[in-house]
Parts: sequence; structure tokens; C-alpha cells
Amino acid sequence: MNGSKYLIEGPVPPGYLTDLAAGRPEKTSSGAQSIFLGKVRDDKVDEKTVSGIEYSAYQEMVEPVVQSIKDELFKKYSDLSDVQIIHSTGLVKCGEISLAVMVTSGHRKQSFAALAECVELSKEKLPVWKKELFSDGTSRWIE
Amino acid sequence: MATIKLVYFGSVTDITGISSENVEAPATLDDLNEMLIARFPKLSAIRYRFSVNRQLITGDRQLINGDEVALLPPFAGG
Repeated sequence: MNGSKYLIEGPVPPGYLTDLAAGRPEKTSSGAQSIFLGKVRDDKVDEKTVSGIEYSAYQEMVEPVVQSIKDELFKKYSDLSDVQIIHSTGLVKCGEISLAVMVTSGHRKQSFAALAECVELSKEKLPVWKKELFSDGTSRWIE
Repeated sequence: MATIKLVYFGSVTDITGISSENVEAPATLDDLNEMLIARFPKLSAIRYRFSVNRQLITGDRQLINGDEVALLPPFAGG
């Protein structure tokens, strides 16, 4: 973990969010928890294959942005009780997780809807940048 | 003398060659943008937005001593 509680150096461990959920057994009024795991794909670009992505972030801006995403979701989804967002910085190889989102609510419908919206908002608003690294040693910024 | 901190991210760092610096503050954000493009002409070929003190800014605004101004290329999380 680096400067922000929403950022993690390297890939997000696959069990990161489920461990977090298991550590909060007191939330018994919430019946639905939905998780999205975003993974690095081995895209092919001009005969070159992506081997990983190098992420960088404006760490000090991540926290207020996550808060604004949470505020927006809680305002829209009255059944929501928790939102967790964690994003990688540094190198994440193909097949590894770079973004994990979990939303908790009373029932499944709002949980699914809020999860999808949270992922979209995270991709749109988090001050994060990525550089695709190719197996031949070249790289390019993705915008 | 008013000083601001500039921070650069993503593709902007390839152009500036550094990730942050302190500079004497121009009066406004528009003045700063002109100053940066004069110094780093390649900036005019890419897209970026400004934040001041971690808030995205649309349009111009005054700069004051201690402001942290960031050049933000399009976000690409996920």
C-alpha cells in the first residue's frame, strides 16, 4: 500500500476485497455484495503483444475523487451501505488485477446497478494513467 | 514572490522530462499555460486539463502563492 488507501503498489491480490468483506461480519442488514475485478488484457497492437501495464496516479487527488464517486452513488442508490475501490499503481502484468470494486447493499438489484456505475465512474474520474508495455520492450501511453 | 508547485503526469512527463517543480507564479492559469507551451512546445499537440489544489478547473483562474497546479492528460484507469 502506498500514500492512499485506495491505491496499491502492483497487482490487487485476488482475495483483497473478499478478505475485506469477511472482516466485517457485523454488517448483517446488507444482503448483497457485488465485486468487479478489472484485469490487464494481452491485447495485440500492430503485431505486438501487451505484456503488462505501468500505472501512475495523482495520489493526493485520488482520495477526494473517490469520495465524490461515493457521494454520487449514495445519493442515487438508497439501498447502498458500502463502496470499496482499489486501484493499482506500478507494474501489473497480463492476467493480473488492476482495479477492484465492491459495493454492498440491502438487496441485489441496487448492488448490481451501483457496481456497474461505480466501475464506469472510476474509469472516468480517477486520476490514473497507464502505459502499455509490449513484449518487444516498447511502450505507449493509453488515453 | 508568489511560488506555485507544478506537477506533471502521464504523457506530459515525457515532454517535460520531470514530474514536478516549483516556479514563480504567473497571474492566471491561462498565463501559466502560455508560459508552459512556450517552454515545452510539444504540449500544444496533446490534450490535458489543469487541476489547482486537486480540483479540476475549467476556464481561467487566478493563481496564488502555494497553489499546486497539475497538468492532467486524459485519465485512463482500470
